Amino acid sequence: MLDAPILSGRAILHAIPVPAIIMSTDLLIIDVNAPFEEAVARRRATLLDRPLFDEFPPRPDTPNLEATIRASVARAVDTRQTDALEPGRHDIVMPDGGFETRYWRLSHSPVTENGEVTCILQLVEDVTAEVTQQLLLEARERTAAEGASLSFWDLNLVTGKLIRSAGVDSMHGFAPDEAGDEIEPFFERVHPEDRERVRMELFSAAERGPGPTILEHRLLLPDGSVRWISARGEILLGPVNGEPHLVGMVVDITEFRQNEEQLKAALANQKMLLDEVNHRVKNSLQMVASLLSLESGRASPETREKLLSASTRVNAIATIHASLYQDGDVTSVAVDQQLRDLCDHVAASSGCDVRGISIDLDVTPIRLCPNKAISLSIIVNELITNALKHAFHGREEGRVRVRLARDAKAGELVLTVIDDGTGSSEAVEGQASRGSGLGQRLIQMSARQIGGRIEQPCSSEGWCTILRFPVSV
Amino acid sequence: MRILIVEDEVFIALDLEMQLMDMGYEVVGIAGTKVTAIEMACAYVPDLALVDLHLAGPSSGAEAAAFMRAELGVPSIIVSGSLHELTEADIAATAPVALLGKPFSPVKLHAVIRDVDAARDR
Repeated sequence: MLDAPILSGRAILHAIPVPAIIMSTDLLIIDVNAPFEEAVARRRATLLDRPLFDEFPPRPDTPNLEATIRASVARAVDTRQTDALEPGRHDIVMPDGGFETRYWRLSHSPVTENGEVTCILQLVEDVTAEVTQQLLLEARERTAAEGASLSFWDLNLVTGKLIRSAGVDSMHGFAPDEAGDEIEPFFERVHPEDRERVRMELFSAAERGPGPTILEHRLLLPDGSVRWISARGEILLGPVNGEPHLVGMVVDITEFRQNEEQLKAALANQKMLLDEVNHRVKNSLQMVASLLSLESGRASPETREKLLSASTRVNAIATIHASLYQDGDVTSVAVDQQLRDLCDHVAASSGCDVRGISIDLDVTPIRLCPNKAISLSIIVNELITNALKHAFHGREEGRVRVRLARDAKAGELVLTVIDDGTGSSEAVEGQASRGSGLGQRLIQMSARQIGGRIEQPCSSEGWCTILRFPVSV
Repeated sequence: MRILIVEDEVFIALDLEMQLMDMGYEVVGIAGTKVTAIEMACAYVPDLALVDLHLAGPSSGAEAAAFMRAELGVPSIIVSGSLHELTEADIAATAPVALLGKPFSPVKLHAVIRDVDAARDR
């Protein structure tokens, strides 16, 4: 093996600046050069005297590779001439055991001595970069062609001539060459209910002149199916007499539309459900009020008063419900309006007009979450009811003032209910607080629920109660 | 004034009856469905009907009110928990003399009835 010609052959191998191997005719590696070591990420020493396909096994999915190389080598031996192969894929095993995608251009040249082929010189050129670049270009061209064939069209708005890609025809349910080269057959496929609108919009687009335009409409296809399409284009002035062209793309948006319809239906359903629940609640509140009213019709004066106070408490909650749905916002209550309703009701049901008593409201416009609004409503109801019941005995007239204001510095809302009747200075029957035990507890507990505190400052005239509570919980 | 109550909720109907009687009016009957309402209206020809918009089952208070107005000349007060559902067509057909939203207080009821009664006398 170490006679002179092969030695010189090896020396030449190491001088070749591209990856190269010398191997025996039965594909045993005799030597490799440094560029080859680098190209396949292997050390020369590990490759010497090794069968080529043991060291570079073909991937299972490229089984023809080994046969192709063996055939090429056989041809080189037979013809005594270089045999070059087309670039082919021969992935190589990386140190981590995985394959790396590589494309190679191989040539096999016979090395002869005394007329006999003694070994084969294989030149190896890594063409991965060129091949992948080419594949990428082809893929781009393919998708671009598909995209264009889906949707391109160009309508001459003067002549009605329609140039378009095949996709437009199939979208409108036409076989290739069925529709001719004018727009009219395509109009025929527009849904009858949309046809006039589409014509008008095309007309006005032409009138407007250069600029973008969007048209969405239905198609009624011969098989009876309905599709939604969206055509987007722009008006351009063409080369012949400046005739306007509408040039654009058209997309089938039926699926989008269907999803949209389903969402709309679900929303309408939801709203119906809410309306129904709302109606139920109002009816139920009316039933409770009617029950109390029915009972009080047959009750003693003392019981009647108790039933009446239960009824106004129910009402304090009912007004919240009514105002929740009044303005379409179900997440918060316009407290100023709701307190007005509440006070009107309390005033009317206790005959304030006859007794010469007025209830003045000064409430800052504010919205509160329903839970807070209910607590506030209960408190206001108790305080006013107490005032009307206790403050004006033997008086010709009186005034209750309800005030809700922001204390921006403390981040609090301040409710003040004050009357000009019999005050704490002339406390009736030595009571520390006014009103029934239940009423007082309702006030205290509701105040606690919204994180508030009750103050009852001494007032020179009448009775005063102040509730402070944080704006946000 | 003689009044027909068209309301399918028993408690509400009884309460309305009691309150109207307390106010000194005559209640000619309580109807829970459209059909009963029309029968009673034909039999008694009241001066006023208090009609709930939603009645049990498929009956529509609006239809009953429209019939009474068109055939008998009986005016209605429409009562409902969802007055906002009242369509333009409903209002045109029933031409209510007043609308009363649920839940309503006795005070509100009295005020509405007195107004209608006063307008009738003029």
